[in-house]
Amino acid sequence: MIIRRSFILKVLSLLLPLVLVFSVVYLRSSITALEYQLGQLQLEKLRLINKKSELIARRAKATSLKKIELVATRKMGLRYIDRQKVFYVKEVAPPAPYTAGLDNNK
Amino acid sequence: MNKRALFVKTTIFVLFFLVLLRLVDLMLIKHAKLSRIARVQQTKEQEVLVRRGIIYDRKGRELAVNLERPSLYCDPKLIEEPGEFAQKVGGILKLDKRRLVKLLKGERRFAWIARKVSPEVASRIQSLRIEGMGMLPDTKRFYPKGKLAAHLLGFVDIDNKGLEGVERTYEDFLIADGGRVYITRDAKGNILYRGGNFESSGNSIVLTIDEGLQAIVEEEIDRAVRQWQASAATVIMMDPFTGEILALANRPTFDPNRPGRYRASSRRNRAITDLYEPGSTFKLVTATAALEEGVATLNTRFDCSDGYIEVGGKRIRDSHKHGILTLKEIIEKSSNVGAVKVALKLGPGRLYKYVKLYGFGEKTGIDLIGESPGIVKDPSQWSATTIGAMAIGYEVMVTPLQVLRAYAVVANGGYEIRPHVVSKVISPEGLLLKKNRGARGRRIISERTVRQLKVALRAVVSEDGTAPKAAIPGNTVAGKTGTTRLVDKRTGRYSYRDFVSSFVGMVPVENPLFVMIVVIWRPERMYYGGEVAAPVFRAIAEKALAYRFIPREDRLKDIFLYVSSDENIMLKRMAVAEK
Repeated sequence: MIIRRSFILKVLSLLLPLVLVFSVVYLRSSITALEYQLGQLQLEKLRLINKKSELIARRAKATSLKKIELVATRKMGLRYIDRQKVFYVKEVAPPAPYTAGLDNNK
Repeated sequence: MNKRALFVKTTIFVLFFLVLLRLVDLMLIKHAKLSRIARVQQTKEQEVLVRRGIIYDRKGRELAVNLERPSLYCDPKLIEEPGEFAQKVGGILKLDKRRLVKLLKGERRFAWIARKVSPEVASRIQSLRIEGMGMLPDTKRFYPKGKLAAHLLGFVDIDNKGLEGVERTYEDFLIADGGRVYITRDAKGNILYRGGNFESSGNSIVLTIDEGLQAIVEEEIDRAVRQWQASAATVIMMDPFTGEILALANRPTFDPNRPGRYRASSRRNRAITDLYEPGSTFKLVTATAALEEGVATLNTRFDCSDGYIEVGGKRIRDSHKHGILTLKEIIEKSSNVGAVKVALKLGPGRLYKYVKLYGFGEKTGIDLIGESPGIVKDPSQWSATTIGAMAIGYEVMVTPLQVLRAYAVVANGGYEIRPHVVSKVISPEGLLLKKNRGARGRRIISERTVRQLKVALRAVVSEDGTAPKAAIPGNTVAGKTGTTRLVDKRTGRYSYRDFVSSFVGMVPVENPLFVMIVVIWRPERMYYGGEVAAPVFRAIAEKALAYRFIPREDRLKDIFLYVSSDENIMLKRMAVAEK
């Protein structure tokens, strides 16, 4: 029994450092892979931010009120409103249902 | 153990020992040197891409943004065939080939080939795979609305440094800390992320201007300059209660995307830098002083029947003889003789007091660079003619913004205000860093005087006044015209050809939405402020009122439709008074 235990200990003493070394190598390579992925994501983020900037600029250019006005007046034939013919619409709240209580029924 | 086994064991042992020795050599003895070499090979130093903050109008529309535009550089020492290089690269970049070859000469190890090229051009250059040539990420400031609000926004240089306008004044807020980031790369050049940001953004700025109002102003100022073939023009629109500039335009103008293609005079913000004699618009000061000091009321009469008055040996004339005028009529008809008589009654001390009270001769404090304080002489330096000249807006130099601020005081009920163009500064994370509140300052003129001045200024736009063309059907307008002779530089005397025509006013008179000044330099054919500038005021104001949904004031009872969702949709025309 004593012989058997010492054999196991011997095997373990050989295997454990080996497992440890491989674990360290595995962990290190995993971290590197993760760093690589993060690097790629960072580059992708940068690319998307640039794309966003580009799209914001294009949107801002396309929605220029001066340009819209030109299109509206010259191409579509729209005109500025005649202020003498404008009516403003205000919504009137419908009368509230009658409720019995101490509150004022407004 | 046989000999062969012993040999193998010994060989393995020796080999392992040699490996161990080599490891000790590499990891312990040469560690410092080798790790330094590895660092150089694996680590790349990269400049952080810095973006300026975005500039928005008051409704969040982008007025200045950034575009990704890489810059190309080379190491001239590594370019083996300069001629071939210039042929290939110059063709794509449309650059002079001789200039490119010249660039590659000398002992330098770095030279810019082209700054801020388009992504398409960059990828074409990249596909050439030229040894010694590289590309750095860079940003280019882009103004998507082109010339709109150019003088207000300003522009930046090639290194994105603000040179004019808000870009310059708020430079510290708009730029971000750059610095460098260290990137670890593998043998293939793939990036391993070890923390740090590759890019950073400055704070964004929200302006007080409204793109819609600005577009209206720009369109009408262009029309006026074309119509009157004027050498220059300025329009400023401001909220009289907060001091927020709603629109500001000058002509000639420029495209901030290509500022170098325009003359310096086109890039000047005339609204705050150019001085002129305000002429009759300055009679506001004379009238205010008279009313505040109790020298006259609106109904006090002044004899203007001669049509001229002599002050210090100089004759000041009216355009025609008016007869006897009240103070209100002096303003309404813009009588020079009447204004001079009022000023003579006041005396230099009291007139000067109100000139200073309105802030003439001092900067308004607007948050833009290059503002001029104007020129107001101290009474000790006045000549015999000065009191007469100053009463009608001569011998005093002002900016259009200073005149506008004076009328804003009347519009807001008599309080001092500080004009400003930036309302908020916001961090990239969305935090509010700075807010310009339009704090109302101290009271400058009494409420009673304000009421009287508004009555007089309303009369100016009546049929009997000098500016009926500024009247807006359905809304009340108050204002004042100005027509000033410019000094002929050749003779040193007032010109009979060159004028400055102006109109400054408010609408609606009670609780004004805005005050606005229109100044037109050297109009051709016609020069009266009421003929040249007043129609521009009206055209802009009419559109601005429609844009801001401001109802007419004349038939308020009739223009509101009240809609109720009670049972069926029902339209009720109800009088506002009943509400």
